Amino acid sequence: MVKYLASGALLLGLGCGSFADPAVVVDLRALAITAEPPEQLLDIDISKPPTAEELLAQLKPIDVCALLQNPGDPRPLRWQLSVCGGDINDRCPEAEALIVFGTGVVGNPGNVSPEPKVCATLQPSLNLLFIVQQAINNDQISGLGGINVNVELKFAVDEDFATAPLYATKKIVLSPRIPAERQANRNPVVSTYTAQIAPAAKQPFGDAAPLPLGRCIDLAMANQTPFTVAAGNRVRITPVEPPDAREPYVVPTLSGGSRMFTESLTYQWLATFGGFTAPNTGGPRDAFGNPALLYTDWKVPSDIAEPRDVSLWILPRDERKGSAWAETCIRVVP
Amino acid sequence: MICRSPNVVAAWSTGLALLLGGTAAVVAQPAANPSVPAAAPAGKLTKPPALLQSIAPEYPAAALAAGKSASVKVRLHIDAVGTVTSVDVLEPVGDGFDAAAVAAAMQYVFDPAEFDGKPGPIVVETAINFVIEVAPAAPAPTPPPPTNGTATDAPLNHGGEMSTPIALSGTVVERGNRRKLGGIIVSIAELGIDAITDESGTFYFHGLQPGHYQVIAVDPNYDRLERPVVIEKGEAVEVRMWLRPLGGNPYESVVEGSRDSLEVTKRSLSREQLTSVPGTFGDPIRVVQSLPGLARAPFGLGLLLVRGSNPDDTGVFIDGHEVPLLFHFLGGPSILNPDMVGGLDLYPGGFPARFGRHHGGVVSIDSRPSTSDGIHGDVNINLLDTSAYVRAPITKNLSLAVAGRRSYIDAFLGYVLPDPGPGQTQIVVPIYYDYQARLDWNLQRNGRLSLFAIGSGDSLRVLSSSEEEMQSQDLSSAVKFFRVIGTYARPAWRDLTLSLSPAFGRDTVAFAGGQTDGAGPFTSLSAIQTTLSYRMRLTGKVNKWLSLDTGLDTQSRVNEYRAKIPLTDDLANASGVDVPPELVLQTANIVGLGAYADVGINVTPRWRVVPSLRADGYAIGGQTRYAIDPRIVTRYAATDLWTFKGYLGKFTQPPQPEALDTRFGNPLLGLETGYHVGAGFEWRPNRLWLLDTEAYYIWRNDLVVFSRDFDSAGSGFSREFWTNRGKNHAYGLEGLIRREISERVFGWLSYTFLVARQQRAPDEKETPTTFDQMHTLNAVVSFKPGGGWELGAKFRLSSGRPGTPIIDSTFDADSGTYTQVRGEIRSVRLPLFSQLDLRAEKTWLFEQWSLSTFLDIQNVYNATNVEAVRYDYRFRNSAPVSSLPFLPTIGVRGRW
Repeated sequence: MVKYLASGALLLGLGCGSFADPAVVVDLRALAITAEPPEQLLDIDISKPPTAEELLAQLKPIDVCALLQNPGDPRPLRWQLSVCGGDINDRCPEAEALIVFGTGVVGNPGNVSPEPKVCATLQPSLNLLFIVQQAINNDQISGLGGINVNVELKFAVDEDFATAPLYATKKIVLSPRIPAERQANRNPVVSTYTAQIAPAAKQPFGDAAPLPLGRCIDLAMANQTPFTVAAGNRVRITPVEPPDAREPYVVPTLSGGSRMFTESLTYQWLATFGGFTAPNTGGPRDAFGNPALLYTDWKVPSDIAEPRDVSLWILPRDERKGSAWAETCIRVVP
Repeated sequence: MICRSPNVVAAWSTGLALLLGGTAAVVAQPAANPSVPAAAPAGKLTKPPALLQSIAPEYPAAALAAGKSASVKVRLHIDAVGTVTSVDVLEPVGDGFDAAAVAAAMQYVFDPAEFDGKPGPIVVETAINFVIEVAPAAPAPTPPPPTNGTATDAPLNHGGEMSTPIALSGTVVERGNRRKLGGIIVSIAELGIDAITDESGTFYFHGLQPGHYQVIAVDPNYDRLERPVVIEKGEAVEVRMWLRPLGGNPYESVVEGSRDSLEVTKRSLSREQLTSVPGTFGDPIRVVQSLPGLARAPFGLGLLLVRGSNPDDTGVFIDGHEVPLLFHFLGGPSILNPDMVGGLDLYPGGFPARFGRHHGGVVSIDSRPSTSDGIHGDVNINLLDTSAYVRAPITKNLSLAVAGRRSYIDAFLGYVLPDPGPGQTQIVVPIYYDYQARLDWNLQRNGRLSLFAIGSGDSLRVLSSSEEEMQSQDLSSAVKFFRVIGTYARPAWRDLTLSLSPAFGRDTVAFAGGQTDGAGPFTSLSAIQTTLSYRMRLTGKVNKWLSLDTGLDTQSRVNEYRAKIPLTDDLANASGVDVPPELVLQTANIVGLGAYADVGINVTPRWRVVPSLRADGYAIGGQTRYAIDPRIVTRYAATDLWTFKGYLGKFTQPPQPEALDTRFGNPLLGLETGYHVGAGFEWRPNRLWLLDTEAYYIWRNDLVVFSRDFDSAGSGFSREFWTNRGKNHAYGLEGLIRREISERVFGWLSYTFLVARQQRAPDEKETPTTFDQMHTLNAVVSFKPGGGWELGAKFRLSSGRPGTPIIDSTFDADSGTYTQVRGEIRSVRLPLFSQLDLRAEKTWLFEQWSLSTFLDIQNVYNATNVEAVRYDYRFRNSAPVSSLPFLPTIGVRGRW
């Protein structure tokens, strides 16, 4: 009796169907949003709610920037940044209190030099305080774990903005300074990456070399040659973290104490062509105690007829909603 | 010696088998007979009636006490559909034998006679024999030939002139398994004498003259067997008669008396039905899923989704003790070997008070007694595992059955896994096994003692390493389970039976993960649940008006968790935080004591009312909970064909142990409560057919649901984790048309209409439950055309499960993923599910054993049944996740 084969077939049945690779950017997408600073600490006593004026005096302006891409489509993009308490879908419904703090139209970010900025600054205001206060009131632990204020990015090709917009969201964090030694989070800073090339899969990699950062369009405008690899190669890209890249931090516990941790950075890898052996690397140790690998191997397709410049994005993030991005360009030759 | 004790078994036999042998008178219906329908055909008899189902007569108590035996000659009036319409006693013998014979004969069911090829009424004459079983004081020697006496004093298994020596003796056994057959008519055609085999299958003929004879063995359940015998002068001949079951391997005869019923709705399956339904892998639990009241489980999983309840709300009991519902990995078969199952009852609602601590439904499984007339068993070998079952007598009163299964995937998996590549190693060792054993000890007048043990284990070891990546994994996981159940039952007062049953068991789930060269596991989890339970039950008839089922049951469950895991329950937001594992030990105890009584009152001979009461007390982590559950059921037999029924009751269920944990649960949780109300009717035109319908409404309160809320705790906060805020209600209609098991066919058609809604919190909108399925249709049929063939089919049709549409998505820049924007909760449904499974089995009977091979095809027409929907990373494109495609499986099984 081969009855258990049925179970195997069941599992096979679960796995059928395939979708586009999320690590390959082929159309309009938001790839990242950063806030500077990503977190602000407020000196408040959660058992004695502060006045609006007291809170307002402590808030600083927050610069919010987004990375949009729309490969192969030269049309300009319209965008809008808002802040609100956020609904169940992390959107800013118009019926809710919201602040639109930035809007604009930019040329296609991949085709325009210098790089168009999708940035705006959220200024402290009573309206912002109202949103924060609502969030605190809705929080069962009175903001002990920090209040996440929802930033919504609404974007689209200009003519589709009114009818078919896309949405992205980011949280800016306002936390009470509990315990007293708590420090606000900073965005991760990783500015160096190395590249190693292997002729094919399962072949040894060569020596590591710094991977130049920069956009393809900027390199082309400057008549610079991008990092070049042959079709069918593998490129191992490794972040080189500075010693202070992973911040130690302390958080309050629900029971009234505090715990100390060290950040575990993650890296998301995106490209306009090819694929990655691991589209996400880094993070905490796994269940077996292995430290997470930081690098990924970019798989260069072998079936290309002419040289092609490929944009790659590396998105470091920490677990406290800090984020950054870096962009590089790799030329693939047949 | 004739035994005259309460343990005496009244044996009976009937000469009806002679009809098939052609040696009895078959009287065509005379038109003048007033009991015969006027439309009785008057043509030529082309096919005599064949007995399909019979029932043992009740031995008259006074006659039994007096040691009297009798043979009652009767005339049966059989109508054109095979039902006995009336019985005439031709030669009354008194002592209650006549009435008992008539009562039994009225329940016979026949394949009707045919006249000129068309069914018609007929009258036949036969005899029903009452005899007290003879139990020899010493091991039975070959009976010496009686030297004197008369035929009327002779045992029924002796034929001919008893004063003469035995000339021919023999044993009748069943072909394929050597089971000795009692009650078989053995005739010597030339002389017109016959004998009826005793329980050991033996027969004797006296005083045969030298010559050639034809020995005929006949029984309605077996092919007629004729065997030539030559008797030489002065010699005694001994023969063995191998009878072939009708159809090759018939469904074992179901001779089920009218059990005293204290429940309204009980759907029973015999072992034969559990093993021959297509598409179930012989898995009893999956067969139950075809009965009304159950929604279809997704992906063929063995979940019991009873009337809108969660799977955990339905209790599975083996020999009265609750066991977890376990399956081997990959959603494989249940751990229960079907050969160890005696029978299975499903109570979808309104169940008796003897079952407590659940508000969904109940599945009650009886382990199969090991009583056997010899060594029997089977071996089942396949690509992935081997299982075996053996039952055997140890002494006259002691018998044992054991079953076991062990996989050997680990032996060849290494050959089929992909090469891990240079510098990498990978070892995968999956092993599963299960075992059952049952010991039965017949203490005669002091009762019966049985011990049943069941256990299983699933373990997985994975070792992998990569030199280049300096990563390694050493994973070991195990799921183990065992129960030992003892039962002592003995007659008590009047017809009451007292049973005492302790049980002990342990369930273990363990996981450990570390690096291959690590000093120990980096993370680990060990959860052990130790269960000790005890049941005392007194059940039976007090008198003709009153039946009773009462008792006590207690259950202690101790849950121990030992884990080395990242502990984040004290953090407001632990997502992505690298938390080092810590050791944590937790213990949760639940002790439950229940007392119950189901009292069956026959208000009139046709109307029974069963008021019930169950009282439960729980000690949970030092705190107590109480529940009083009153229930009432009633059945009214309006006519012999129509029975109406109804019930109303309260059912209480404690929270799952993990929800009561003092750290990761809520020890303050209260009991969940359900209320069942239902009504329906049964129409049974004869013993082979049943129409059973029922409408019901169930509402459940205080259901335990997950909570994200916090409570203030001293200077900080604590998570609530679980709360009693959930509600659920379900209503529906169920119908069952069932063909009871007989020699050649059984099957059923079931339909379930179900609407199930839930509310997870008072301020939340009511939504359909996860497994809400409005329509479920199941059709099961199994047919034995003869020649050792058995053909089966199962067809399922059901509404798709509810789902929540995803209408948009938002890119979450903090995680780099997209979050779904959902539409109305469970406002859409998956497409209709339909699937046809077929099964064909061929059995070859040899004298000592039988060999079967089968082909079981699931999803014959390769329907694409959507069980779920997958989405791309930004929820724009979707693809169905389908259940099993066309899947043939084959198997081989040997039995002896």
